[in-house]
Amino acid sequence: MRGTTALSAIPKASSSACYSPSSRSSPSSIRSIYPITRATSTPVPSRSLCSSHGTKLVAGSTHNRTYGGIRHHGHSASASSSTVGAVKPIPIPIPIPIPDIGPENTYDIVIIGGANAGLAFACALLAQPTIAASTRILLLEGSSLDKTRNWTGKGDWENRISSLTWENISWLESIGVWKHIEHGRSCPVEEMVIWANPSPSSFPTIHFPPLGHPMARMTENMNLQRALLRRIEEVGKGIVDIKEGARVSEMRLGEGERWVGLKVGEEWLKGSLVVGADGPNSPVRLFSGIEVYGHAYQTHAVVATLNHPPSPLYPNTTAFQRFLPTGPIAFLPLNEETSTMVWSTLPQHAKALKSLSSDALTSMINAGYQLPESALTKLTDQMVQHDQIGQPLSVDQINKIISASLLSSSGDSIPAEQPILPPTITSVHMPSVASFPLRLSHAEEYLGKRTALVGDAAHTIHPLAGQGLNQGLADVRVLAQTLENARKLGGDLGSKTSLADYPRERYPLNHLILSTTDKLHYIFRARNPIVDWFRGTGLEIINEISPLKKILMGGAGAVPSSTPSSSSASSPPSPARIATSRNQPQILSNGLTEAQRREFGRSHPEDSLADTAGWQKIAANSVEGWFTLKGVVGMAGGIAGGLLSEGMKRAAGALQKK
Amino acid sequence: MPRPTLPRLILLRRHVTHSARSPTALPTLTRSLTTTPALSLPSSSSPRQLTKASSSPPSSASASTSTFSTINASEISHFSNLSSQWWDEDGEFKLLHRMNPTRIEYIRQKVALQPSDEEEWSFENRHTDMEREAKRGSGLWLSGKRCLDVGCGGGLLSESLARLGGEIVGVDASESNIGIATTHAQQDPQLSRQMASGQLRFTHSSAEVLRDAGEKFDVVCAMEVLEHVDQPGEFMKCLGEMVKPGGHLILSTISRTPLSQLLTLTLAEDVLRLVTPGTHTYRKFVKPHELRRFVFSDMGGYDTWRKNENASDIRKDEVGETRGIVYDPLAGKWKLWGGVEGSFWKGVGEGCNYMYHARKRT
Repeated sequence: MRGTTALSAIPKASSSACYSPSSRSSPSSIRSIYPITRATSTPVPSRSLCSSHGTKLVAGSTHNRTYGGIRHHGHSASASSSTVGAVKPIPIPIPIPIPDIGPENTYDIVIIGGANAGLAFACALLAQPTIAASTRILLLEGSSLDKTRNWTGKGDWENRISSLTWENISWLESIGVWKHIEHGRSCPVEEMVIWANPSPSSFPTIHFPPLGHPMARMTENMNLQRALLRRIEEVGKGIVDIKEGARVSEMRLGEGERWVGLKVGEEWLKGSLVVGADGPNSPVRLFSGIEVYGHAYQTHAVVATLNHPPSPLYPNTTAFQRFLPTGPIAFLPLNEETSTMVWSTLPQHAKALKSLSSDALTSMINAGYQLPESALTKLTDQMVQHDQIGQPLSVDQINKIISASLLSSSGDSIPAEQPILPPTITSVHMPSVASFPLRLSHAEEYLGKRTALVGDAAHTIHPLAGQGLNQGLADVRVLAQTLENARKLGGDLGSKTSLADYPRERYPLNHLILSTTDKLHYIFRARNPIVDWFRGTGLEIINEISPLKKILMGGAGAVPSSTPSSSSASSPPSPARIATSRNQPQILSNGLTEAQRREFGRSHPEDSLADTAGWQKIAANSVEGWFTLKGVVGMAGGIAGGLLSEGMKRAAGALQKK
Repeated sequence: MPRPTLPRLILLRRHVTHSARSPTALPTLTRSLTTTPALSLPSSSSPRQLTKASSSPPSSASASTSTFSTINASEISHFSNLSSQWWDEDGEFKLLHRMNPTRIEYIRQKVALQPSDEEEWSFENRHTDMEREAKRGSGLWLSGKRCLDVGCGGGLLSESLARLGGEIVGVDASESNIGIATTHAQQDPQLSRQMASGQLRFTHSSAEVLRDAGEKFDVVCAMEVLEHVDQPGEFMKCLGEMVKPGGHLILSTISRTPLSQLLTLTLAEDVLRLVTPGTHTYRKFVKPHELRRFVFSDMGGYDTWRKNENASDIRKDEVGETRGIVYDPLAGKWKLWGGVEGSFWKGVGEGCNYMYHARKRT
């Protein structure tokens, strides 16, 4: 077995040793697998022997209800690879033959997992005419869906919130799901600001200005799931059966490998194709013997719902992300007065953050967005130290540390100009505070024998780009289209020939997104002069080159604006908007604070861009100039060539006439 | 009266020009399929005798019509030996598995996507053409149609057609193939029900037997069969007789060109070993124009068959449409070749594998 085997979720007696402490929160979900047995008496590969070692097997308890599709139980690769070889193959007892399964329990497609990916897949299938006309679909969910069904869209925000990209929203609209969304609970993200702030004197910032349509919408997973469920109940009568609280205790390939038998309770069901939408520790993946590769990040994500006063001028529709040496901290709008946070940081930091009091956490989060990095590092070090001795920091202590560290360093430690900042928060909704470990993983294949994997079962990703759920929705869309194309031509839905297009289309794309996000994670975390220089320069250049920014935003027709990126001599130094800062915001003549006036980098007529010239600016201009030049030269060449050939033709004609 | 043997190409050219001028010269056009040296039997000096088997003096092999058969015994034993591999998607019949969706796409285009005769085109709802076409071509578009799959092998095509709602009869001359097809279909949850209700049926028989039993079908398919039978002319006529008025005759086969020699025989069989060597015989391949011309000359012409609207102005003595089907190794799929009727490029696509479609008049 290869080294990557270690990362598959094969449970072993000793496997609990390799889970990090925080991942023990749900040990039952880790161990939930199906025994792999086959109805035929063919020799069973050793992998399945290992898997059948699992004792009590409960499926359907894991779901990908996570922020951005991330929830992972990190375990180290080296520890579990050593245990794989140690498991001795034990003989499988001869299985009880599958009883005859009646037509009422026979389905064409069985979806396992009733979270985002599973429900979206059912909706996607219902939108395909041939599938809807000629197949029976079953959706199995381990727990009850009543919580989703009875979600009212009122009250506190859930902490599982995902950003849905414009592309996916358009698709959800086209399949009739979006009309069921509680629109008041879905916030458009019009702009985005990203910055890495290694030292107080430089602020490489990328600002993605409005596109004309929202870049994405922040939507609670519950909101999306309820909409999907309503759509299924609206059009899926007689096509999609939903079985709630149905745990699969056994899965077996039927005779001739033409169907998969599933034991649900005491009942056997069969399906031509089983789709695993059952989360990162996918039992379907285990059944298919598909291995996963990837690694755990030494990072946990802390999520919380934040409250802040509404801005008098601008709608709260800007997403912010700051890259700290410990990981990114994101601020994502929910409505005028509420936003959500995802702070990816070291496990001990996450633990310390969660143990803070409400006020202390508020100050800490503000500091996380607004404090210079050196001061923030001192603060978090103190926080971890205090947490380890069992005395979490209080607000006063935090304020003391902040002012001490700001005073101790020289006067310029509060920079002349802060990057554009998210609003200062006033409180944190404490029940929403939670943390989960992060992990990169990608299944080696998406297809097994009569099985297919979608969403988190196939891949998990760092949430910094907010792509987890979006990748899952794209998987589901492509798989439904593939099945429709196969069915239209009479294909057997579970066969490799019918399904081949799905991994062909999705695997390279998913891999690209996964590896790009992984690299971004490391590039933005790193703090050393060389990487800093490259990153800073890279960000400056990206921010200045409009075409490149357009590509990054993935939007056509966008007009990227330029953010004044280094200190401008004409504007007075603006104070940092730290609640505990000694400086009070300076009120300008028009009644606005300087920070508000310049908010989100909207350029004002009086802002002169001329003095933002640095050599990076020159580099950026020359790159842009090169593209322009290339275009102009190409056009001129075309015209000249056309004239020349026309002239030649005429000359030849004239000669011929003579 | 036996004609002096002339080089084949010259003969064919003459027919084209001749018939274009005078349709009365039909009796001389009876040999498009049988004049090919590959397809004539050693005992036959006269091509006409072959195409009219019933009038020819009975030989030992074809004593009466009931025992007469175009089945080649060695071909049958070849495919019987391979029968266990029919459903291995990565094995001997990998290319055939991948070809199957494309063949059905062609059937869909011909059977389902064409507007029905009742459906009148009007300027007002021209913009709904695409919608109507999508509606016709999705869902169970074959329901209510009786289909015959001659040479069904392991039942690749039959199973797919059955899922589309048609009533399917699969016929194969190899008993072991029929066994495989039956077993395989019964293991499928959906198809086993269709087999129980008689919607899908596999029979160890031959096309001739079915014809003699008077069976008629809306769609008659013979995929990759023509190049494996003796006397393809007889075989074609037999298929043609089983098509109901308004029904479709759809074939796929291989052309006899240097390209097919290279791709099918040299590459696929001898070099890459995708297919067992000896599966195909170059001399048995049939060119597209020979097939089209044979249906015109020997199977009733335009009295029985519809004209190919796309080519009616350039070909006056041919019936049906041929279309190339080519394997794209990068995508791992077969694709239907495009091109304008009569153009060089369309001919290139038909240089190896191609589909044939003809529709009977109502």
